[in-house]
Amino acid sequence: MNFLVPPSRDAAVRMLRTVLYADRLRAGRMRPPVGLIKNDIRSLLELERLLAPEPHGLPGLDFAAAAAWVERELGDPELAGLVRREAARDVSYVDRCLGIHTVVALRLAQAREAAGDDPSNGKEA
Amino acid sequence: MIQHGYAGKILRLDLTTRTVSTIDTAKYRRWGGGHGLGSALFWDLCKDKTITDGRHPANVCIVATSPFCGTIVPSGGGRSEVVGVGVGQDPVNWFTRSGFGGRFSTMLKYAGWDAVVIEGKADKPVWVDIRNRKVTIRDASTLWGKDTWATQIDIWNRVGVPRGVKNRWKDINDTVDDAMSAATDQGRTTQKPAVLTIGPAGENQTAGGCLLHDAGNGAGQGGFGAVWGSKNLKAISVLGTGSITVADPTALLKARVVMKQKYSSDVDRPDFHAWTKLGGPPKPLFMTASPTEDRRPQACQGCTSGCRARFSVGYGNESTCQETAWYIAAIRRVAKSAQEVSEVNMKAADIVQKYGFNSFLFQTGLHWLEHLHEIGEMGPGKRIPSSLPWEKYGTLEFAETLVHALSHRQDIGKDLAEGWVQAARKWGREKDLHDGTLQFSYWGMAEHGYDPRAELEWGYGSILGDRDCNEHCFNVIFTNVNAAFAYAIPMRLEAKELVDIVAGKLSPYAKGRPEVLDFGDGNMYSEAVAQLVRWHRHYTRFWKQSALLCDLKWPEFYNTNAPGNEGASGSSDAGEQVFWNAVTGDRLTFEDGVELGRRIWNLDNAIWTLQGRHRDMVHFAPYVYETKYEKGELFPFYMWPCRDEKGEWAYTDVMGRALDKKKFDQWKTIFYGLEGWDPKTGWPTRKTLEKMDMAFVADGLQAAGRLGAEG
Ligand code: SF4
Repeated sequence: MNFLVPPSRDAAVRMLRTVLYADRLRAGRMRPPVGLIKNDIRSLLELERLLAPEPHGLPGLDFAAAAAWVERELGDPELAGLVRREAARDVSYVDRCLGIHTVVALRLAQAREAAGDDPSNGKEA
Repeated sequence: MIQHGYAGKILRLDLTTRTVSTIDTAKYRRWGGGHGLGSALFWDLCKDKTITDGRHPANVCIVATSPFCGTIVPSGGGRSEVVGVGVGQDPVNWFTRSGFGGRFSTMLKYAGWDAVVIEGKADKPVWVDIRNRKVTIRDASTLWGKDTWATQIDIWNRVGVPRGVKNRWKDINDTVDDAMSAATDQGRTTQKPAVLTIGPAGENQTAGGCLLHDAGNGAGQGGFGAVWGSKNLKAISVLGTGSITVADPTALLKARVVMKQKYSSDVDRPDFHAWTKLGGPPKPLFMTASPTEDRRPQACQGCTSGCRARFSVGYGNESTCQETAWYIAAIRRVAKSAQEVSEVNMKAADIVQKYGFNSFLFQTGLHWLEHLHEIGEMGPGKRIPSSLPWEKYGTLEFAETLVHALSHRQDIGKDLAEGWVQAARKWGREKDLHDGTLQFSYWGMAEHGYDPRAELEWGYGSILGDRDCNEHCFNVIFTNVNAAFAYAIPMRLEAKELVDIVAGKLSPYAKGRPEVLDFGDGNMYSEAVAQLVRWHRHYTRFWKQSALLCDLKWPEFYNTNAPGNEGASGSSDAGEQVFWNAVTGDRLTFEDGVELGRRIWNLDNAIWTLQGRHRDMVHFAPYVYETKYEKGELFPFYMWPCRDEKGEWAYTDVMGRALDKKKFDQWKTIFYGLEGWDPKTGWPTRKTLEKMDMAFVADGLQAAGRLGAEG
């Protein structure tokens, strides 16, 4: 079950921040025939968009690194725990991406609500 | 004498004297067409083959067609090859190549020309107006400064073919005056001319300068836009009313029908997961969600697939592949919706097309620029002065500002115009070449997406050649296998079956030797891999770049639509040679084509040798040796068929390693030995050249003191 305690406003602001380039999460996309292309992640929103299903490629993500990054950079051990739980499921890589997408999208919506952020605005607090 | 598949003449333009002359194609028939034809013309006509800057007036640029152009050869009838010394590479601008699709090559042949040779330099901007055999060099002063699309519209208007062709014929008052067209050529057409042009990036002679045709057919790598810019050549327009004779139309039709019936997906029950290059259902290749479902497929002339589209929304037309993804990571950061991601993405593609700018430089380069800005190295008053509005990164406005600056040598564009690796050095960022912050892997070109530390044939082939090879022959193995792993669906072909089928196609050097495909740690510097790389170099030089079969579709090693999962390549019913022979009347074998590719590859190496190449220069960017290709850096796994310690084949992850510089250097010795080149220098030897009936090349090298020593 995907349950995340709604964050406080302060925690939400941190969850929604854009981290420095140096603190980014390394990631990519498999986009044949171009190949594997960089898609580094600097915010929760970008992580959600990387993992969102689309017909033209697959997200490239190291799940352990993603969980550690969520914990370290976004200060969200609870989400990191759910990312680890989804990553440990005995299903395909794509299904694990989808599972992680679900919890990341849930957290994004909660954080936006708590921070009073406009969900239609891609720019984070 | 009719030469089936050929128009018969080569157009020679001397821009310095503004004179036009012709060469009989028959003189160059042995080189096939496309790249081979271009290399041979360059060898004969470039008076100074030591030049290392494509903007030198002695540079000769050739745009060449093949016998397939203008015919119904599947995914082979509409491409053109461009050769000459390039711009923007590091440490040397080699004699290099690029290619583009569309309808330029077909129109050129219908006008009676197999190739155009561009020599010299005009004193003022010019464009070339070809209407069948009538060729006029015209003033381009009012075209100069226009983007690629506006230029083409202007020329269409000048040539006078009305837009909207219903019931309207243009009489061009000239016919293609030879036997092959006499029966059909009325000197009239409803078509608008095919125009190949440069935009601001080429006019300003920047490393990103492309040649562009129609909305989205670009010759990107090599900086040929800058070459044309240096020659004051804005555009070549061609309108033809002739046709091409095919030696055996029945055989051609039969092979095309076989292609459809035996190798292609059943349209009523399409297998969307089939492992095939040629036989998949037609599919556009833009890298984002379609901006609208209201669209039509768009293809190069004669293509059975069609990797592009035209949209009712009026943007993103004819863009495909990498240009539809160059900006996407940035857009995702700020767009308000998936629809906006798609819209900005496709409009960003339009921007690079209009400026005639090679978006592949952004493939890894854009992240590097962002990094420099973030760490405070680049910006107003910074060590790298720049006023680019990074706060707008991800918006369409930023995309246009960036491409404008780089196309006009403004802001950081001043330094990047000479090449990105050169700019890194100038900016004191040499360390970025070592730690991989700037991933320009081979000859100053951006890493493509198939990292040389994992996918050996791509990396080795690129560095032994002249550019990012951009040859999608084997990487389909990675795509098919990785996707199956990611979805945990059954492999259509297990590793052993796959390597056996592929090796069966690698005639002559690697036929029946599946070990050539083993990219495992224990085999990566082996004689076997050298044989694979040789085959790849030679196959592509002829069948892809000279015969001009589309890179996205050929070769086809395996095809799970077909009996025995055997792909069409080399087959007796729809192999490359079947189409070649049907069109030309030759009796070429598949292996003859590979051998022709070997000759062309040797001719290219002779030109590089004259330009100053030595084996010691043949090395990757430092990061390829000094850093590992980390798992998760771009994707968590890179699955490839390898043998385990017991010799059993299995799909294995080849991420997590660097190349060993010393071992790679030793591997080059094996490669040069197999090629019959001097292993001390990498230069061709007389014996090798003479065996290929190329004593004239050996003479040229000897005269320059650069003939390889015999072993
Ligand atoms: S697949 Fe695309 S690039 Fe290749 S021939 Fe067809 S339309 Fe042209």
